[in-house]
Amino acid sequence: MQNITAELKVKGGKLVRVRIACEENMVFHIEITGDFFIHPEEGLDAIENVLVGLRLPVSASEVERLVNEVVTKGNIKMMGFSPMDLAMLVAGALA
Amino acid sequence: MKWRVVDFEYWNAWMNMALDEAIGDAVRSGKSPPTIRFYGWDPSAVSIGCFQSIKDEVDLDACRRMGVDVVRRRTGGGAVYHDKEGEITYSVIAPEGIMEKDINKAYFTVCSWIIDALDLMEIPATFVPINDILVEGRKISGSAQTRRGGVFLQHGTVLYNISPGKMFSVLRVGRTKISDKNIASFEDRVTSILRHAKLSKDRVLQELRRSFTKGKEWEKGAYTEEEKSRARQLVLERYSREEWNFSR
Repeated sequence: MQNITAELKVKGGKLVRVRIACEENMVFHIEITGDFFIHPEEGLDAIENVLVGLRLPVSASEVERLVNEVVTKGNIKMMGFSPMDLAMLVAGALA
Repeated sequence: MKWRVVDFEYWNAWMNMALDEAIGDAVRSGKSPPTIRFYGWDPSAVSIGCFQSIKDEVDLDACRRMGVDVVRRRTGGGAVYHDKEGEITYSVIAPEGIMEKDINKAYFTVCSWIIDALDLMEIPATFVPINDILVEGRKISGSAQTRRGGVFLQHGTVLYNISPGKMFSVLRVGRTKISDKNIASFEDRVTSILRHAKLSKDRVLQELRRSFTKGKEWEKGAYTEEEKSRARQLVLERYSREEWNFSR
């Protein structure tokens, strides 16, 4: 099991941290933390869940597409960071 | 719709967060009117945003040494040190339908009440989205909002007299957080009412109440027995529990 941590302070936005556990080139667990806002709050679990199982290597555009899908489906509002910010952070951490 | 205003009272961290939720439950069921409450934290406490990692944000050993409580909020946003003497906290709890639907607009509305109160104290302040109020470029107030089951909650702080030493003993403030700000240190980011106007806490509370209730039909009130009882239950079920406070 490989554990990876990365963080990003979004310009004009909030701080986002990811802790990712990978095993056999797959995202096994991901925790996203920070001082951002998500409405409804349960939306963060949905975003985390959609990223579990990702196969490496992974591109930022793929992560963004997955996050956008879940955000649209759940009518989730992210404040202080965007799907693209999260995608860059996750893909950068896994690179 | 007539608002209830509950004057400043001290509660511990668990009860403060539980009261917000219990009042929300009572507002949802129509048993309580929309409510504005002002309160303090006894003992001093740290509250963290619902998405934050407690270990990343809080020096738990320092909190234990200093007798500072820690609680996870139901709202997002950052970690806040609520000094018993140096801070005033507010909550606005109302049916969602009487507040702006747009989250940013609702932040602006409630933060404007604080800015107007500061204006009454001759402290010029500005709103900086998403949720900050600044005086001379330094943060004097921060807020967080949630909407659950048709109930709007915004709670936030107004710094009355900061204790930077205590604040920075209990909060872990990483360099990344301030990396996009042109400042020497995190400490330079905050200010308080007493730095700008020598006013008693009572006077500040009076101006806050005046501004928060402007244009509203309102009356002074107290928490109902049902709200307090529900809050005590929520302390046991959620706010005092490691499963909640250490969930991230």
